[in-house]
Amino acid sequence: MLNHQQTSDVRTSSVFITGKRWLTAAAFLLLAFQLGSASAQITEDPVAPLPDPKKFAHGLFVDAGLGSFFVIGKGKSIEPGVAFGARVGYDVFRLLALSVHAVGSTHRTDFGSAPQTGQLLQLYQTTAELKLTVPIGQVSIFAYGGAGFAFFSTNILSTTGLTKPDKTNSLMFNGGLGVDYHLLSRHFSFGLESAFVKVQELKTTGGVLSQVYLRYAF
Amino acid sequence: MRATIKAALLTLVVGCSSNSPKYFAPAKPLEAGGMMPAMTGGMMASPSIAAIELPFRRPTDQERTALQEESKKLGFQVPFLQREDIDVSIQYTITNLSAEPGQASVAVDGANEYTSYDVAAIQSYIGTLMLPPDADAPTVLPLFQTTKVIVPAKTKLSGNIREDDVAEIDRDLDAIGRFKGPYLTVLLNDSTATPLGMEMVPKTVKLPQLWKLIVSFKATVPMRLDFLVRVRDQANVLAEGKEPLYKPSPKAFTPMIAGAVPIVPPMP
Repeated sequence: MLNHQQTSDVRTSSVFITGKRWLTAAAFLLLAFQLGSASAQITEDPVAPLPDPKKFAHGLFVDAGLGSFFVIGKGKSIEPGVAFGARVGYDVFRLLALSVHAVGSTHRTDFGSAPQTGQLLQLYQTTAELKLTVPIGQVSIFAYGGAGFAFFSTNILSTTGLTKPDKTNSLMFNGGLGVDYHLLSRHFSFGLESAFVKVQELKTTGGVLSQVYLRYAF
Repeated sequence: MRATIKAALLTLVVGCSSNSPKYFAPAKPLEAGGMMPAMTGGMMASPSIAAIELPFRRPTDQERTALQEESKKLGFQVPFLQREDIDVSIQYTITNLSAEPGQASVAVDGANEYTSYDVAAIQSYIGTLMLPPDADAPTVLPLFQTTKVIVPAKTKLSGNIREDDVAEIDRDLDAIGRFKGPYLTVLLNDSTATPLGMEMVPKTVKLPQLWKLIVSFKATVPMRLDFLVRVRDQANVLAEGKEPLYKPSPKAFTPMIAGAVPIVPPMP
């Protein structure tokens, strides 16, 4: 009697467990069907949204650059040096911008065995520039040119005849090309630019400024 | 990478500071090495000399007043061109033009606002004296002299008379000029190592900087000296453009020689 009752209880429990399993299985099945029907709607890989250059910020912009400046021609006695630059400008149109550019570079002199060798010299360039840009999606190619003033930190070059006596400032011109890559952010882009620089009072062919920059448009 | 950026920034900051030097070169390099007969017989190398007057501006009325007030307070004259504001050094290159090695040396004399020291002028002055018969010929030393160097044939040798060397010249010239220190003792001793000869110099002295440098070059074979005076002006006293120049009238230094009497009366 006691044994029969125990068996009966076990059976009841077994029937109950079996019922719970069915319910769980049905729920999974339902979920699986639902998921199945959702994935069935994707027919190809999702396409990354193309940046729309129209949505890039334009107007007032600033950039900061780091690179090098080296003199070519007779002035090679001015060793290549590190250059830092900063620019503030305004995009008048998408293709045209006006800016003010300041660059400082530091150099060591090398006039062979002359006493002028081994002296530190800084060159500061300040120019007003006009920039033309051709945007190709996220990338843009640009050309710029400008005029301004250059300043030497010392008169060392005048003691070697590379500038007139005691001349430490000069009119200067520059012109260059660059490539700009706009990030998916509305504001940031970075790029590479290189320009030929002619410092009028420096009796040499000119100089080349190359730098990478980070630009922020407001 | 971080260190490179730090170094680059530091270079730019240092470069942008207002402590940029100015350089002054002589009209032409000095050439020496021709032999000339010495007074004592035999041959000696003739020195070649160049003087450079540094173009300092005149003090403003305000500056003059301030200097006068400070001078009254300290009890001695305070110079307009002070050593602590102006650093001077000389870069030079000696070129041996001959086909044989030779000896060369560079010497520096000069003038501050109070005293002028010129070996050639001192020797001329001694020439106007009648020395006691038992006296030795007086020794005349330049304010500063590099050690004699041997320059191989057809080679170049570069050197530097540092800012601290010029500071020693400043100390010595002021001691023998304004404060009447015993000149040979002062010139022979390094005043940073020993105070010999500096006893009369006040501890609070404001050292005058040289405004005129007289560089002389001696060589035993034909050689050339190219040099450059480098001035770091922290007081903004170097003249800009056509500013009127400061031309002090220092008193020429003449050594005291016991028993010597002038042959020729001094010029009025």
